[in-house]
Formats: sequence, C-alpha cells, structure tokens
Amino acid sequence: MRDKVLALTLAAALSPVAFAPATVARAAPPDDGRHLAITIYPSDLSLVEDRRMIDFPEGRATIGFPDVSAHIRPETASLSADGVETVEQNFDFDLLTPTKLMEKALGSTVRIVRTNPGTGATVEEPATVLSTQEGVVLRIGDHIEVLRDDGVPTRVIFDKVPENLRARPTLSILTRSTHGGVRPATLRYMTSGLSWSADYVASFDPATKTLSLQGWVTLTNNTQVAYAQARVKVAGGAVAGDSALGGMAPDGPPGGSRRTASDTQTSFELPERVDIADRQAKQIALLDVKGLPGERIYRSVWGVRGAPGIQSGTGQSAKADVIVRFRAQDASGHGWRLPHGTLRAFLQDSKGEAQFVGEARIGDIAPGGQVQVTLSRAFDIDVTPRLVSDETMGAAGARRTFEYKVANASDSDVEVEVQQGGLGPDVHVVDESITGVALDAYRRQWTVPVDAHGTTILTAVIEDKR
Amino acid sequence: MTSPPVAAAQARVAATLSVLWGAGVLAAIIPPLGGALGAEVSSPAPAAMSATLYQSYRRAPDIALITESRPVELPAGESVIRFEGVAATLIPRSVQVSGLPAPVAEGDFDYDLFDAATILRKSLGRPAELILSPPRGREVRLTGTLISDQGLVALAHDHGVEALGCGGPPGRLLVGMPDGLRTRPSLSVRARVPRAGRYAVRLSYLAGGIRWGAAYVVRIAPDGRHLDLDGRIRIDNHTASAFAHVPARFVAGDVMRGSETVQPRQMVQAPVRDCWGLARTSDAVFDRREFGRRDKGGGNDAGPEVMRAMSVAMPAPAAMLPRAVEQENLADLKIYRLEEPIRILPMQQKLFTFLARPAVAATPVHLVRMTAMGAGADQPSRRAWIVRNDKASGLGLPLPHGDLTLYGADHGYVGDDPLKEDVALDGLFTLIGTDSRTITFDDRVLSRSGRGKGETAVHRLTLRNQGSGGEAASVRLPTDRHGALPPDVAPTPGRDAEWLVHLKPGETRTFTIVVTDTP
Repeated sequence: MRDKVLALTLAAALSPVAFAPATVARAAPPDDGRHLAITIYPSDLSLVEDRRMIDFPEGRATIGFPDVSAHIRPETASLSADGVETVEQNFDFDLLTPTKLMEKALGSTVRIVRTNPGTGATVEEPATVLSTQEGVVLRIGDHIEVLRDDGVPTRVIFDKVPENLRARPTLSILTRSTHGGVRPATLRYMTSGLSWSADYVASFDPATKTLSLQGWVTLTNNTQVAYAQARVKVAGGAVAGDSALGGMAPDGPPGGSRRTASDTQTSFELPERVDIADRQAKQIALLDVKGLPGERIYRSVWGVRGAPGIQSGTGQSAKADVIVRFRAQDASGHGWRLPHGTLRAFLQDSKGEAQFVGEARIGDIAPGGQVQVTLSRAFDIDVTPRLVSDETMGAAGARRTFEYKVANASDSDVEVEVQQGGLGPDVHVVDESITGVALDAYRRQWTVPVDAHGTTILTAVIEDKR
Repeated sequence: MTSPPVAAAQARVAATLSVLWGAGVLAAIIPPLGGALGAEVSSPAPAAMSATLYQSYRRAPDIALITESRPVELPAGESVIRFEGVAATLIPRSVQVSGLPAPVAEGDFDYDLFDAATILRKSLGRPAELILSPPRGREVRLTGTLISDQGLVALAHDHGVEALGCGGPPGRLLVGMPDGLRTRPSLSVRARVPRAGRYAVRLSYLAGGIRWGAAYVVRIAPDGRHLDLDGRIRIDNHTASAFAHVPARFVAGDVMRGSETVQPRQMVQAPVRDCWGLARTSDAVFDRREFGRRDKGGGNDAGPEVMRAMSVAMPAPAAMLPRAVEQENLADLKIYRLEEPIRILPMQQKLFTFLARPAVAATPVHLVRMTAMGAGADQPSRRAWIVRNDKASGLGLPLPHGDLTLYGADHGYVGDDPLKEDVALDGLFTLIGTDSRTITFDDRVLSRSGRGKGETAVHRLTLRNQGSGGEAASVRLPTDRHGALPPDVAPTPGRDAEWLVHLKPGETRTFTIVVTDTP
C-alpha cells in the first residue's frame, strides 16, 4: 500500500501558514481554478463547496484538510475528483493537550528539568512515566517519585508529538486514484457558524403616502476561517432538522432524505463574489426602491388566539396596532422579490431627523406581493371592550352584549378596524351598531370611525348557543 | 469611544504574551492594530451626534438610535471608509449610511478582536519563542513552533516537545503578531465617489443596552383632592459607551422590535487549562462537591431579602428643576426633545425632570375588591385617586407609562404602583396607595348554583364608613365574573366594571349581588 499525505490549505486567506500533519508529501499548486461556493440555509447550517487543483498520486493517498470551518459537520464531508474514489474518511478530534501528551508518554521516557530554587542551577535527567492518574508518577534512576512533589518548578520535555494528536479537529480523506496528476477536486461539507439575514429599511413619507425601501443581506461568519472570493447563495424557508442530516451527502444540496431543497426553499445568489472574514458581519446591498405606495391601518384584535379576550372584571383596554401595508412593486408595476427578514421603519420628525418607529419580521414576498407589518401601537388610540349584559336564554344558550369604546386622542379623524374572534357555528353576532364583515367563520371586523379627540362606541350582540 | 489610529502596518509586530505559570492565565500587551490595505479613509470620531432612546415594553431588547455626522475627505473612485469610535453595542444589521452621491453597496462589521485565545489560535504553526525566567539563575530562551493552543500551549523546539504552564518555572511566550485583529469592533463601508472632495456622510445605527423610562413622583396635597405630579426621564446606560454632549430624544409609545436586533455573538474564548495531574502526596483530600454545596448555600441568597427589607418607608425625593423638553407627535408615537445636550457615561443611570404639574385635581376613592369565594369579614379597602388627563384637571398631556411612587402630604410613602399603560389625552388613570380602614367591608357568598362557566353566586357586600367625612367606595366584582349593583349606583368613571358607592360618615350600606362566571 502506498499511502501519502497531502496537506490542502483551504481558505488560504485566513493565514499563509498551514499547520500540516508531520508527513506532508506535496503541497497544493497555486490557486488556479479555485472556486468557493457557499449556500447558507436558515437554522445555522451552510453548505461549503471548495474546488481546487490537487495533485493526486496514483493509488492511495491521505488528503488532510486542516483549515476547514471549525464548526464542520464531518459526517457531511465529501471529496470528488476525476478518477478519485474515497476509501475512508476520518475526523480526528484527539486534541493535543498537556494531559494527552503525558498520557501518551505512559511507559516511555521523558526528560525532566529541575531548577534549584536556592541556586537557580538546573538539572536535566531522564524519567519513565509510570502513572498519570491525579499526580504524575515517575521513575527517575533507581527511585520512584511524584512529579513536583517537592514543589520545585519542573519542566517536562517530550521527545516528539504523539501520532494522531492535533491542535484542531482535523478532517482527512483516504483516496484511491486511478492515475496520478493535478486535476480539479471539490470538497463539500456542511457547517454551522455562517448565517444570513435580510434587513430592510423602510422610510415613510406621510405627505405622499409612499415609502422607500432599501434591502441588505447580512452575512455573519463565526466559523474561524475566512472565505475568499466566494459565490454566496442564501436560502430561505426551512430545512429538515438535525436528525435528517445523517449520513453523507455526496452530491447536490444536502437537506436530508425527507425533503429536497428545491421544493421547500427559495434561494438566491448574491450578484458578486464576496470575501467574508472570520468574525465579520458583512452587509451587501440588495435593493433600493423609492415611491412605493403604502397605507397605514389601525387595528384592534380581540378574542382570538394570542390576543386578549374580553373579561368583564377589568374592562382592560389596549392601544390599537399600527399596521403598514404596501406591495413589493412601484407605481409602474415593477415588482421585487423580498427574501424573508427584518423590516425597520423610519420616519422624519418635525426637525427632519429620521427616527426609528418600529420593526417587524416579514416572510418571503414574491414580486408584487403584499407586505403587512405591525410596527407599533398608537399612543392616542385606546380600545376598551366591556361585557354590558349577559342574559341567559335557558337551553338556547346565552345572549351577550359587548361594547367596544374606541377613544381617539389624536388631532385627526381615524378609522379603526375592530376584530372579534372566537365566533363559530354556535356563536353568532346577531346585532351590531356598525355593519361588520365576516373575515372567516370565526372572526368579524367592524371599521369604526372616530373623530379627532372623540370617542365612538361599537355595540355587538353575540348569541352563544353552546 | 475613540480607538487608536489605524497603522498601515503590513510588517509583523511582535506581541508579547505573558504566560503566568500555574495560574494558567494569558495576558496580552498589544500595539495598535495593523493590516489595513488599499484606499482606506478613517473617520476617527463623529463631528456631531444625536441619540434617540426608546422605552421598554414587554421586555423587548433595549435600543437607541444613534445618528452621527461624519464629514470625510474621499479620493475619487472606490475607497473604504472606516468609522472609528462607534458605540460599543452597535447592531450591524441596522447600519445606514447616507450623504454619498451613490448608495453604499457593501459594509463590514469586523469583530475579530485581540484576545489571548485568538492570538494563540492564529499563531499555530508559526515560530514562537519561550523565555523562562526562574527567580534565580539564568534565563532560558527556546525557539520553536507553536503546535497546540489546547489546554495551554505546546511548543516544539530543538530539544523536543514541551507543554507550557504545567508546573515549570515562570516564563513568557513571544509570538508573531497575527494580521487582521482589532482592538475593538470596527465598522467600514465601501464607497464610490465620482470626484475627490469632502462629503457630509451621515451614519446611523441602532445600539443595544441603553433605554429610557418614565418615573413619576406624586405627592398628595393636604386636602386629599389634589396632587403634585413630577415626571422624570430615567436613562439607563448598560453599555461601555459614553455619549458626550449629545442632543437626546426620547420616544414614547410601544415600538415593536424583535429579539434578532442584537449584536453578533462576540465569542471571546478564555484559554482552557488542561494540565496533567499536579497532585502531590502532601495534598489534603479535598471534597469539591461538599465545597460547592456550601458555597451555593452561603450568603448570596440573602441578597434579595435584604433588598426587600430596605424598600420600606423611604422619604419623598426632593423636587428637581425641570429641564426644557419639547414634546411633539411622531406619527402615532410621542417624541420628547431635550435641546440641551447631555452627557451619558458608561454604566450610568441619569434622572431629570421633564414635566412638573402642581395641584392636579384627583378624585379620592377607596377600592373594594370582591373575590369569587368571598373576601371575608372586616376587610380593609385601598386608598386610590382617579385622575382625568385633561386641562380642567391641570394636566392634559401625554403620560408615558413608567414607575410611579406616591407620597402623602407629610412626605411619607403611600404606595408604589406603576403607571402600566401610556395615558393619552382625556384618559383616566388611577393612583393606588396603601390599605385603609376608613372604609371596611364584608364580602360573603350566601349561595351558589350551577357549575363551571355560567356558575352563579349570590354575594352579600357590606360597606362601612368609619371616617369622619363623606367617602366613596369603588366596588370591583370578582375577576372574570359578571354582575351589577342596583341601578341607582353609578359605575366608577375611569374604572370599568366598578361601581361608585358614596357613604356618609358612619354610614353602613349592604348589597346583595348576583355574579356569574363569564365566558
């Protein structure tokens, strides 16, 4: 068997030095044909594809990859090259620590250097390691002693680094090649530590009822390696969880056997190659659009999951939600696709200073799709519902009258959408002071006009036949 | 907030790492950062800045909007502008840069910082020198290669392999300075301008760890029907950043923000020590578990108890001179503008008065709270004052939610009940004080029928005025129960589902109330 070990320095931008295994046979040629592609999925998972030229010898060779991401999932790694088969893949995580150095020296000879604390004179002598449990027991000449039992500072010098101990967990692949020579090879692996997010800045102009939208993609790298000139693809949607990631993913995007990447994910590629340094958050402009028509809505939601119901005891009130709605398209009908992310809204105050007025998450939006986000609650709009009467109808159930007091302390007239949930086949609105609309079988909505500094009371009678 | 100027140093600078033997601690003494490349323009500090602070709602992360004016001289073409001295808690995802002819296409926030573990990690495989300095005798210098940073460091040198920090004499490790490390996180953007010149760049970003809150101090007047209201703005800066001479704005209103608006994790790894056993035959047997238990059960748990005990009977704080604060609307929010620039120091709480209203009219009431099982006999009521937020009462201005402490006419402490909601104009709010026996009550359940939802209970409520003047009781039915007092009793204004009962001196009134469990 003709085993050789090659050191391949991936992501050379990190450092020009490769702390290669001791038995390096040849170095990889210069970066001709280098191609780094990264797909960043949500849930802290990324696929790295690194194509480089490697000089494979004919027959078997062990290729070491000392510089892959520190958070690699070794079981997902795979190497492909023309005429090259993988015989075995190893991920060695026996780390080179002082304790391990001593343990591996058990039964063999080390040298100890003692310094006389009084005179400073040093004495070097060979010693055999007999035990490393708790204290280290050594045989020195014809007697046995515990290392540093006298408290004198003592250096221990080992002859060599034991095999298989390394400073970093290291991936190595034993390959078999049909022929020798330099050719492109691609290493693929999944790693955590890379993440992306889309961030939008929406600036509102209340005078024209339009907004401008800037989008950014933020890449964050905590993998302890740098990625130079990488083509980056970011994927939205969800991938299958950890349990689906068992086994190797030799070709194509991994994601487990239960789902394929394409039918659950939307992804897009950044327009240019990027350098991502270690411990860096990089922002790349995605879009910059002006003049999107938008509207503001006040809404108060009662009695559905996640929103307060009506309780007679306290007459709790709530500020109306401030919702902004717009389409991902400009006045001429041109649309933009918005990957899911965080939208932050800004508004100019009377002095022309842009102020932050709220933040919300948005899902993946198709070109021209509607974006609707709750940015804040209106300081000046209070909605107070109250149970006014509760009459029993005997076996026919109960008839309850609810009152929603909508108070508007602002200087402008407003319309507030009041929604009541918890309706259903046996729970109906039978009377109402403002004509409402059924949003679905369970929810009804009333649009309540309220004058500036005024109050409007909406009344609804609900029969519960359960 | 300023960092040392960027040195365009491509040459390696030797850094000294002191290895403290035995303690296993690594300390680094580091010259200014290097590694800058290309047409880089440094903006050392903002020429002017302002800060907008937000209130805390539902434990949302604390944030502030920082806006900085950064005039920079740029060469024609592409350059990298490095913004020095930004707030330490800058949230990179929120950065906006304006004032350039073309939008910025790319920005970087680098947080690859100098720390001992990172320097060692980046020095792996590189030459290193070990200098051993025993207290007496000759200094020993060994040169070799750093082969491990796991559990302290291992060095391969001419004589063999040696682990540092495992019982040898004290010494120092010298390594080459790794490129690209920084003393503090750094923000830079790639900009392209058509011609060289001075550009008025504006940088804005959200920063974490700083917020404002309202804190009200209310003193009840001797007549019991008026109060003096002092509103204070409290700034809490939990960051290492100082904001000197900053015009500050304070936004009131529930501004949504998400948990993802935070800084990237800046994982500073402490070197982990993993030496071989250093136990000696003379060492006493030591049970660590026992030690841990004793340590845990010790004096630390007494902390909150002490705090609670101390929160009794504090004197009313002295009035503060109000600062000039302008208030205006910001769409559906309120914004307070403090024109006089302020200085916010790291880890500081700052307090100043933003509104002071004397002699605000208030309606004194005694709160009577019934419970589903009957509150019992001879229960005390609770003193409270209902205030309408309008001009007629002497108020009529937005009141952001916040802490509220109530003091009596004698400056004694009466109660501590926060203003939970923002109060808009014409809104009513209640200040709740201590228990009172001026009005006492009995609440008994006489009978009960039905089960679960729709369950009905008949309560007998007796109210007694034991005071020398006329008093009002505001009666609240049990929580989640529906019912009513007789039609001649009016609801309490500003207290939904409560009824206001007026009682003459010495008067006792009894009501029979049917309450049902509501859906």
